[in-house]
Amino acid sequence: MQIDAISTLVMSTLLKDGVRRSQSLLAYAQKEFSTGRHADMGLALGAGTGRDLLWRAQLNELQSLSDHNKLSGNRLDLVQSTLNSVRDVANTFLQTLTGTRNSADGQVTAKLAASSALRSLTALLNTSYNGQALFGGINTDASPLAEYEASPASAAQNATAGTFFAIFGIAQSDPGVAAITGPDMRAFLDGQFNALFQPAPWQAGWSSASGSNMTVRIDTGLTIEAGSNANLAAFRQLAEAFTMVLDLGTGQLNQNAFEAITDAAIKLAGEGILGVGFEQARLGIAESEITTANDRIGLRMTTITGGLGALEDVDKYEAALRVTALQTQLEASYTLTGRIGRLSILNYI
Amino acid sequence: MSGLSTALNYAVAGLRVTSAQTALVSRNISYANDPDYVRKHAALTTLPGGAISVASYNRSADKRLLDKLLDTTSSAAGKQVGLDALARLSATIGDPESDGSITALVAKLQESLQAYEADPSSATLGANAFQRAANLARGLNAATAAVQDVRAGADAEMTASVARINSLLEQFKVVNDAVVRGAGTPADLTDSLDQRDRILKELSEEIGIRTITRANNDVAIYTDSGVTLFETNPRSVTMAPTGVFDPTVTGNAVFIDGVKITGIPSAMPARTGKLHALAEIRDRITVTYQAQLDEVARGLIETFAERDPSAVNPDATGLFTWVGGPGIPASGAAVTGLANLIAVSALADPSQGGNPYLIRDGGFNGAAYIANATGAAGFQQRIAQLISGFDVDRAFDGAAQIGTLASLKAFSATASGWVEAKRQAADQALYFDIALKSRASEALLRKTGVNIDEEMTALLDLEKAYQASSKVIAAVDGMIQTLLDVVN
Repeated sequence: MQIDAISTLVMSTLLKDGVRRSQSLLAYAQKEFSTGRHADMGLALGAGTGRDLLWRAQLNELQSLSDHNKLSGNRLDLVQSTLNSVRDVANTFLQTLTGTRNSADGQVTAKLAASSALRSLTALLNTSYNGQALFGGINTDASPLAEYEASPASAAQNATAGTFFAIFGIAQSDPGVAAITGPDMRAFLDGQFNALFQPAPWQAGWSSASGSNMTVRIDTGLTIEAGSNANLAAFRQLAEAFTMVLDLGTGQLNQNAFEAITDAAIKLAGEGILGVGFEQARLGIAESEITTANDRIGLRMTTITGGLGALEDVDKYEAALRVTALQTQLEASYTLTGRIGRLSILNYI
Repeated sequence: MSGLSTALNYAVAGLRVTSAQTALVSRNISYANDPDYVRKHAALTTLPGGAISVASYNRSADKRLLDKLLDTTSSAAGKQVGLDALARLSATIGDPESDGSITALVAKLQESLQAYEADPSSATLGANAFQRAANLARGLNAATAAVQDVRAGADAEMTASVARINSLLEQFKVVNDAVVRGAGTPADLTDSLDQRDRILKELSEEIGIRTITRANNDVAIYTDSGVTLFETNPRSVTMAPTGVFDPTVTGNAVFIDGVKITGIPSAMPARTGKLHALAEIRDRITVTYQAQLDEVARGLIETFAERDPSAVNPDATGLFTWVGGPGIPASGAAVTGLANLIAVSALADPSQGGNPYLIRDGGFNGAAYIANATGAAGFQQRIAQLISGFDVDRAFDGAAQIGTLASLKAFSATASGWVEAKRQAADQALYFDIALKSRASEALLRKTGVNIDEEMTALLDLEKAYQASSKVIAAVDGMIQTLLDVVN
């Protein structure tokens, strides 16, 4: 049997190297045990660091999407309940009008109802949430509608008065309005008056809203329209119905002309209510899309979190075992160092 | 009578040899803990006339094991230096959890833009998005500074390494000359030989070497690529240091006697050792990583570039700009040092009187570039376009070595992965090389090192021999005395 030569220095060097290595491994194992993650992430993951960072970026993005989706959901809830109120206002107005059509003091009651309905509509469409006008479209910084009955007279009010005077040659408050016939009034309502509520004059005289709705990013790369604006046909129809009862001489009209107005107003308000219902349905779809998107996002976040865990986490139990094993090994090394240090021929000669 | 005096001569020669050997044992023991010391032993010879004498002093050297150690030393020293530099580069990424990486900063910017998109009328959210963009630009500037710092550090270490190689070669000349001169004489050359081996070991840390032993125990040194470092006289190793590094600076090459051994291209490049590893770091790895950072910067400038809605004016830089702005760097071609040049436009900086709404509306380059024609407070299109810009695949320069088509976020994440992959590989290779080196070192030490127990045992033998020789002298003395007494 060949016995290798051995020098004194080798023995101590071997022990020293072993102890140093065990100590550095022990420091790692202790950190991993206390944090549950790799001690040096870059070293442990290597090229996987890229995937890890990308996943974290995605997680970040999904988290922020999900937060904003909750806010958007709240905003849409408010839009929906506002639209409910708009429908209520219009329904009340319709009921009043049906009752006043043929009654003696019907014109006064109808005018009062119209005034209140128009004020309510204006207030509702001016609702804001978190400083954003809900019905301003993308013009979120200003309330879309101005008060109709104002002093000095609103632009819309002036437009109505101007058009009325141009056709009938008198102001709405003139007692001479009693002479306006039913067919004349009907022609005026269908013609010049209706023209005031077409998109262009509406945006000039009534509304500062934008026709473009706010969008919501509900998922990565997916935005949906989730907002409404005061330029919607339904709102214009309701405002037209309220205004014609309010501001075309009601109170002093003859019965035929009043009936013409009432009939036109009932028809428009009915269409308006229907339109608001459609708008609500559209927003309802958006709401449900947001909910679905949130569920999807939640699932993806769970998957990514799981993936990150698989990349970054260490088995704590295994780390604890490693700590124990390394401690034992170090203790053995120390004992050995002591023993070998004492083992010298000098002690025996 | 002649028999007695012969006995006396033998005994005296024995005493002389024994004390010489005892001196040797003592020398061996006192150097027992010097890893560069090779165990000495005396070769004995019988002189004409029969007396014993020390013929020469020998070392328990082993050239094969030494060569192996030199090889593994070069390799391990180089890997260690490379790993240290990569660890410093990896500090620009940090633990993914700490969100300090460029990728995390990009994600933070995107997140703030998403918040801004949800409420574009908010000045606070606009200012927040600007802040995140400024952080990102600063992050890229800082990463560049860190990378250039690593390069400057490598350059300084290369300068130091070159100086050390030259100084070691000078020392080698002195020792080697002593060995050559003493060859064939009975002089004790063992210490010079130890010195020569020690210098070779130190030299091998700096650069990979091969040695050839020639007549009279003369040693010539070559690099592992075959360039002569020392042959009778040292060759001069030169490198002009570069003081300050920025991404456009190329470090100077190392020359041995006019032959280029680092740099690109090099006919006879060094393959191992610190010098080689440092040159790799300075001239390749940091340069590639810098190119990756530069491409991220270019991707950002491209993502935030503005388009004239009427398509009259050329596209121009938006929130992120650079010295070449408002021009946009050509797509898919790295601009060296762009990560250092990128900045956010002061026009959108609220703290400098700027208007963060420019992020929402466009118009960094004048009214022609305003996307929000009606000035709507809730204008979202531009922000939405910016957000999707992060995830759109765009062209990147192949010089960055991580693919040419990727989204901005994926590209920056891949760049981080590239560094960490290099570090992981270097760490594993180093672990392997250190194991090889310690095995080689152990093998050499086993063979050449001093074992105190053996020396002590030898000392016991010498003590016995000394006692015996002394006893002989005493006995001869007694005999002569007896003879003299008889005569008297």
